[in-house]
Amino acid sequence: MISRNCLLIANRVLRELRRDYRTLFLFTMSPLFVMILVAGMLVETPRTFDRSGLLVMGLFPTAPGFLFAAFAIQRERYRGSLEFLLSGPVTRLDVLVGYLLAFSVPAVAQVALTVSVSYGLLGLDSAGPWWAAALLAMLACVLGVVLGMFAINLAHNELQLTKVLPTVALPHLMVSGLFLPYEDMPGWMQAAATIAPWRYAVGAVSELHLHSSVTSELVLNLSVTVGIVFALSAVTVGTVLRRRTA
Amino acid sequence: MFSVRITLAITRRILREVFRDTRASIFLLVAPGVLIVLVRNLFESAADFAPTGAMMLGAFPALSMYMVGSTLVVRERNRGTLEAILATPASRLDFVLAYLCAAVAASLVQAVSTVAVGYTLGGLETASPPWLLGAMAALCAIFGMSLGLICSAICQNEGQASQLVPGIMVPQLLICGVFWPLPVMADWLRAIERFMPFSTVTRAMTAAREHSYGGSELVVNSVAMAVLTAAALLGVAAIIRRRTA
Repeated sequence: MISRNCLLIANRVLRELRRDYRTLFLFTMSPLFVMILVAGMLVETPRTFDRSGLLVMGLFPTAPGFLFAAFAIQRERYRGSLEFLLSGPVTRLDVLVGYLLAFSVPAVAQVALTVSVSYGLLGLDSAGPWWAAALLAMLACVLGVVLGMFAINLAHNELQLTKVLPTVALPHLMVSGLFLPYEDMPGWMQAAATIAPWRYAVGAVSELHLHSSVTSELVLNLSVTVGIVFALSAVTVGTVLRRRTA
Repeated sequence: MFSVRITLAITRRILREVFRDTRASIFLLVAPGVLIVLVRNLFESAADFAPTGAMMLGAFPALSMYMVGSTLVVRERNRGTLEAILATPASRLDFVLAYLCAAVAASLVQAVSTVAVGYTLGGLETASPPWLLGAMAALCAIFGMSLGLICSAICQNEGQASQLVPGIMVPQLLICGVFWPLPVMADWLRAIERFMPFSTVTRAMTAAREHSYGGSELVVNSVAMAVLTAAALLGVAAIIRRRTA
């Protein structure tokens, strides 16, 4: 799965990211910044902060992953470098894995920063251990990157993307269980939540808030999330990352 | 200085371009309603929803128009259409006024659809009549658009423009009171909130919900929005120019 070609692509994407200070800064710092704001918002209610703060920490990494992966792939496709890559001995899987690897490097820094500040300075408290939360945050980032690539199916250029992203992401956020737990939603909203990929990631992080041991609920939500990552990757490889003839 | 005929011609072109894209139409006209219905269902009763709902009536139009606006000028410049327009008898003021007219037209349509959904499906109840909140929603949308235009005028390329949205708007949106009531936030956060341009939107909408016709709070925030809008548009007019050599 990890071939020489995909390492080369990862290296190139990483170099591009490193040159782009603005993107790199937003990518690594934005979850930390949002955590500090959330801590300030919920300063009067530490128990709410323990739940919402953990959810934000474990799930917010999806957003920058989604955004920057979408723009990076869109640029790749729009400017023709994707066609160029695929006309060589590079497979479509190489491109996907290369991007995932490249985004994982700043994601590690981002998650390390967010988790250490949240548990250390902001006083976040959860039943599950901090490293489990960090791993879930990494998974959220990977989910974001894959979702971002998948979202390219809905837009033809970068400017359309700026309208597609919020239209997809905002309703998704509302039904994901971040604001209202799944059990308390009305029936039609539960139905919508069932097909929202993010809901299972939210479910996994909520389990971590309540239980210190591995529960069946956690395993279920986690495996569905991983399954979604693979399913979306498969679709993305088939639709977004291909040479378009005619 | 400027001509009505040229301004209207540019306005028509902008509106045609924006709404030709189905995604933009959905984003501007359908998404606010969907979001209001979803958020309404996150709350137990219509009374619990009212504070958030009233703020959303202003915040979502402002946010969505900001996002549309933030890509417009940078595209005109990068694709060369700005140079082409300025090479004709059209002046920079024509150009900016045309964007303002387009914002007014789009925001009115958006305000009608958003407020209609808010008061029917959302079950919103406010001290001020719905038409006032509709007018405020339109003002918020125009304000959002002009903020987007100034950001867009500053940006070098389209990638930068798309990063400004999360970088500038998300923090303001988080602390403006839509997600969590202002009075219980930390003092330093409320101190920041007071100086954020986006706060005028939520403050004006809250005032309109709490008091009949809003009172002085509404007037102050509306004036602030109008002044910021004018400043942003004048800024755009100052920044765009034909670059020689």
